Amino acid sequence: MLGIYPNTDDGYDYEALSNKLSELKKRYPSKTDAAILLEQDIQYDTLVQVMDRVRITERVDEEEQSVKRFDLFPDISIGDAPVTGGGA
Amino acid sequence: MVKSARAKRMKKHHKRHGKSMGLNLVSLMDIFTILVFFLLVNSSDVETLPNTKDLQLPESIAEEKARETVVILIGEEDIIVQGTPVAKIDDVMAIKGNDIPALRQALLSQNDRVLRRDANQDIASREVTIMGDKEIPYRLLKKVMATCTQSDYGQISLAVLQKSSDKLDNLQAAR
Repeated sequence: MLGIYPNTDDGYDYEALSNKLSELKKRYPSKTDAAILLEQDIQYDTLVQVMDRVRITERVDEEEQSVKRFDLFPDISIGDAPVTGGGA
Repeated sequence: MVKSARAKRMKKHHKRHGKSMGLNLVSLMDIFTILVFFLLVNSSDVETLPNTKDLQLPESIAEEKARETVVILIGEEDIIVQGTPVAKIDDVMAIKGNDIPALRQALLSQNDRVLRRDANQDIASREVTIMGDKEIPYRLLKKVMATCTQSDYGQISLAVLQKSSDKLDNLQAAR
């Protein structure tokens, strides 16, 4: 059920995260809360980008040539990631 | 001087109607009043946040508008509350634990001045906006946010730059 998404050349793999979250939302449609745990030195920008992906997803509507937004888990909590040796 | 009947008639006519030829101020004022209200109502919609050149906000697809709140600016060297520097970043980073006393002091004194009266009663409706550079580490953000909560602010907003979604851009590029 869970996954680890290694960084691509452009940094974090937000796309994979977004896909996984949409999948999870399909399985638990009534769930709206999520927790984001961060290590101490993660940049603020990363937090905002991840929050964006957790909050909403976008799907391209080919017929209407538009992008539609769907809520995923808009009730986000932020916390400290547990410290693990070696960053695994 | 003998006047013709026509001249007399003309004179009478001018006397009767001459005064009403001036500008009709009443309707003019009405229109301007409506215009003023229209502009007032429309302009109050836009809340501008302070802007600093050396601060780069993260980009987000969030659509919510900025509201009028207490603003905490996390700059390169200082933490600035409503325009006044309150603490140095280096000092804050050196603090163990999550409480920044200087920031808490500043936030508590903002309580009385900026917040609306009804917000004074209700902690959950007190709002604060944090503007941080996108490079600041989470440990700093966490300290600031924890201090906000300790200073009885129930709602914390993170200021971001609005961007259009990447997918929409791709779609438009492909067209």
